Amino acid sequence: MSQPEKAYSISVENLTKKFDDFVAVDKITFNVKKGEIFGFLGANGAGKTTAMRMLIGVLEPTSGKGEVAGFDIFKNSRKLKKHIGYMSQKFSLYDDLTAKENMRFFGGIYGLTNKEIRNRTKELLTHFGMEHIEKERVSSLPLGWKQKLAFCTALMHKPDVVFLDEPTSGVDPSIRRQFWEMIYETAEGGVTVLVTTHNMDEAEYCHRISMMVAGKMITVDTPQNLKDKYKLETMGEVFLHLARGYEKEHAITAS
Amino acid sequence: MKNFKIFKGLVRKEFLHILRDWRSLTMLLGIPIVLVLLFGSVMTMEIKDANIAVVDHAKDHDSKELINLISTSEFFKLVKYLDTSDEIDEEFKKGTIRMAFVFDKDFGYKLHHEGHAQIQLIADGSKILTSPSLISYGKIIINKHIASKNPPSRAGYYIIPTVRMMYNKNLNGRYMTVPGIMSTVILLVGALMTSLSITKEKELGTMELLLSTPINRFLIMFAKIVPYLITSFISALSIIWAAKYVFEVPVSGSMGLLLLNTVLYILTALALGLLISTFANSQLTAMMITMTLLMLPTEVLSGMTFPTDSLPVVLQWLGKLLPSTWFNIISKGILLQGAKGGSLFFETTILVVMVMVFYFWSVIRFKPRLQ
Amino acid sequence: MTPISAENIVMNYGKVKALDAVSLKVEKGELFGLIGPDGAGKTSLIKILGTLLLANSGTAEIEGMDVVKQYQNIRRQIGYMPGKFSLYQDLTVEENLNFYASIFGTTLEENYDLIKDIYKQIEPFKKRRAGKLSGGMKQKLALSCALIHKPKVLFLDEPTRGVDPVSRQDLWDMLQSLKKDNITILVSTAYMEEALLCDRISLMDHGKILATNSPDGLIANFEKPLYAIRSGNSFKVIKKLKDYEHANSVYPFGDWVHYTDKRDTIDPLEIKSYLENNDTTNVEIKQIKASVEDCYMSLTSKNQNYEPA
Repeated sequence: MSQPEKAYSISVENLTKKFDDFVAVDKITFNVKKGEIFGFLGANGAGKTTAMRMLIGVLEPTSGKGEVAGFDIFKNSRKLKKHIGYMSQKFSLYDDLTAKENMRFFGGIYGLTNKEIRNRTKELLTHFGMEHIEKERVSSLPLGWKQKLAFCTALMHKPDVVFLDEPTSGVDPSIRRQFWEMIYETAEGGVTVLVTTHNMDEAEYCHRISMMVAGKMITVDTPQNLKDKYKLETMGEVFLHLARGYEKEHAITAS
Repeated sequence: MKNFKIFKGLVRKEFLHILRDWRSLTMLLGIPIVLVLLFGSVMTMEIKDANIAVVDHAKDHDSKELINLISTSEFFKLVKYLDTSDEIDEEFKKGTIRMAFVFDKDFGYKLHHEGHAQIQLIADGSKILTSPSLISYGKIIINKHIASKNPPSRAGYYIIPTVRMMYNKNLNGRYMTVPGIMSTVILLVGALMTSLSITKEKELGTMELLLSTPINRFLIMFAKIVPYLITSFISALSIIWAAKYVFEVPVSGSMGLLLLNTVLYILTALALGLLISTFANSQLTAMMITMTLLMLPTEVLSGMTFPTDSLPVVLQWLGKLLPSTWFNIISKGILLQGAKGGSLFFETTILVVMVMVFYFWSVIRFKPRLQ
Repeated sequence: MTPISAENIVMNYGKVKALDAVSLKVEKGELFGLIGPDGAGKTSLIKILGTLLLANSGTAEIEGMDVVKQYQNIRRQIGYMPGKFSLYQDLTVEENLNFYASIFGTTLEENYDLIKDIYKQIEPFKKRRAGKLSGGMKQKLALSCALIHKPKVLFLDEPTRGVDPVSRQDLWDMLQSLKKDNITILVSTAYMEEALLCDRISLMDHGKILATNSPDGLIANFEKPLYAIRSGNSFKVIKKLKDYEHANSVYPFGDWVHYTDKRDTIDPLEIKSYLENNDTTNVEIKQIKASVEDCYMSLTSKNQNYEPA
C-alpha cells in the first residue's frame, strides 16, 4: 500500500489516556521524524508504557490526536499494526523454536510469502552478522542474543516505525552496544525507532529524547541541548535533575 | 511460646488472604452447596414418585399395612398389583414400573411366629444411577415401619429385605446419591483450597521469601489447614443442611457424630491438598492433579454412583485408598442406618491414619529450599 | 568470623553451568556488589548463599555456619530481597511488616529504629495494599521487611532491575545508610555504573568471577591507555574507528566513543588525523580514566561473539 510521504513518522497532539479518574497520560504532544531514534524516558509509572500502547494501536486513547506511520491511531489501528514493529521487554520469542523458525513464524503473522520470509530472514541475519545462530534454539541463546534476534523478528515485515520497550535491560554491556549498532543501522535505512530505557548511557545514543513525569511530557530535546541547558555532564544527571525538580515543584508524593 | 506466636502470625495472614479475596471466598462457600443442589436435584428428580408394582403372595394384615405405607410415600407410586413374580420382567421391559416389592406367602405369620420375614426388592439394575437410591428408600420405609412396631427397649421381630437387581445382578443399593455427592464435593473443594493456596505462593514468589526465613515447615503447612478447616466446615454445614431439608435425607443417627466425622473428613481433604501441592509448582498443575486424582476416581471407585462390588478387584482396592470411600460408609451409616460411633470405629480410624499420613508425608516432601 | 565466604561453588542446570567454581569472601560491614549481565550467575550465587538452593559442589559459610547443614540458623541471621517483588500484594504495608516480624518472633515496634529511615518514607501509606504501591515504594517495603529482624547479612538480588534512575539512587542511598548499622550487604546488579557505589565488587560473566577488587583498584588495573573520542556523529566515528587497522576496542559511551589501541604507546593526534582524513569533522580526543564498564568489556572481550556449543 502506498501512502503519502509525511513529514513525521509519529505525530502526537494532546494525547490523553484516563483510567477512571486516574490520568495515566496527560496531553502529550511530540513529533518524530522519519529515521530518527527517539528515546522515551521517564520514571516507573510515569505513563511511558501506556503511551506506547496507544501508539502501537492496542490501547484506545481517551482524547487527543495521533498518527503513526501515516495512520490515525483512533481510526486505523488495524492498518497501523502492519506498518510498525514492536519488541516488548517480556514476551518476544518462542523458547522452544530455533532462531529461523521464530522469524518464519513472525513473518507468517504479517502475511509474508514463503519466499519473502526466506529472503528477509537471510537478509537480516546476514546484515547483522547472526547467520551462525540460525539453527540455534532460542532457549540456548544468551539474553543479549535473544534480544538481537527479537529485534530482527520485529523488522521482518519492513516496518516504517519500530517500538522497543526496554530492549537491553540486563544485557551484557558489549552486546548491548552491538544492539545499539543495529538500531543505528536500521535508523540509517530510514526506519523510525522509538525506544524506552532506564539506562541513561543509552539515552545519549538517541537523536532526541522525551521525558515523562506523572503522565506529562515535561521535555523533548536532543541530549546535548539538555545537558547544555542544565549545565550538566551526563543524561543521568539531567534525568535526576528533571525528575526530582518536577517532583518538588509539583509536590508529587509517591502515590 | 515463641512458636505459637509465629503460628498465630501465619494463621492471621492466611485469614487475611481469604477475607481480602471475596470472590474466592464466595466460591469456597457457595460452590459446594450449588454443586450439591444441582447434582442432588438431577438425581433425586428421577426418584420422586417412581412407579412400582407389588406382588403380594401373603395378602395379610401386615403385608397390606406395609404396602399402604410404601404406596403413600412420596417416592413411590403404586401402579400395578401383579399375581406372580414372572410378570415383573415384562413390566420392566414395557417401562411401566421401575421397582417391584414381593411379599412372601406367609409374610405375617413368619413375622409374628418366627420373628422375621422376607420382602424382595426388585429393581432395574441397568438404571445404575437411580435404582440403588430407590432400593435405599424402600429399605428405609421398611426399617421405619419395623422400628415403630418394636418396643424401643428390646429387639422384637424384623424384616429382611432381600434385594434383587434385574439385568445387572451385582448392583446393590447400599448407597444413596446425596451423601455420595456430599463426600465428593467436600473432598474436591478441600483439597483444592490447600493445594491452590500453597502453589499460589510458589507462583507469586512469596514462598521463596518465606523459605528464606527460619520458619518451621510443620508450621507453614499447619497454618494452611486452620483457616480452610473453618471455611470448609461452614460449607459442609450448608451441604448437610441441604441434604436434610432440601433432599430430606433422613438423619437416623447422631448429628453430632456426623459433624465430628465431617471435620475429620475435611482434615483428610485439606491434608491431601497439602500433599498435592508438594507435587505441583503452579496452580494449574495443582488443579489438574486434584481433578484427575479425585474427581473421576471418587465418582467411579468410591461407590458414589457405581457400586464397588461390580468393579475389578484392583479397582476396588484403589477405591479403598480414597478417603471418600470411607466417608461414604460413615455418612451413609449415620444418616441411613443410624450407626453408632463404635460400629464405625474401623472407618474412622482409617481416616485418622490418612490425615496423619498425608500431613506428615507432605511435610517431609516440602523441601526447605527451592527446587 | 567472615560474614560470607564461598569456595569453589559449582551449580549446573542440566548442561548449563550457572556457576563455575566460584569463590568469594565478604568482610564484615562491607557493601559488596556482584556485577554482571543476566545469565552471569549472580542470582544462583545469591540463592545458594541465602540457603535457598543447593550447589552441586563447593562449600559456603554465612557467619561461620555451613549453608547446607546449618541453614536453619543462618536464616535467623540473614535478610533477603529477591529480584521479583515477593511480598503479599493483598496485604497492607503494615500487615506485611507485622507478618515478617511475627515470623521472627519480634514486632515492628521492637526493631523500629533499624528500619525507621526507610519505613518513614512509606509509613503514610501503611494502610495501603502492597500491590497498589509504586515501584519505588514496593522496594522500600521489601527492604523494610528484609531488615525487620536485624539481620547480620543482607542479600539483595538485582534490586535496581527495571527501576528508573531516581528510585535507583534512592535505593543505593538506603544501602549506604545501612552501613552504619554494620550490616554486611551482598547486592547484585547489571548496571555497571552502580559498581562505584560498592566497597568491593566481583565482576561476573558466564558463571565465573572475572575479577574481585575495589572499584578504584579495578580501574587502576585497566591495562591500556583509554581515549574518549567524539565528533558530531558517533555512529560514523565508531564505524571509522572499527575499520582502523590499529584499533583494539571501540565502544560507544554516551556521546563519546571509548577507544583502545593495539599498540602500547600511541599519539592521539594520529587517530584524530586518521578520522579527519576519513571525512569526520570536529574530532575531539582525550585520554580518560576507565570506567567499570570499560574494565568489564575488556575482561569479557573474548566472549563478545556467541559461539554455538
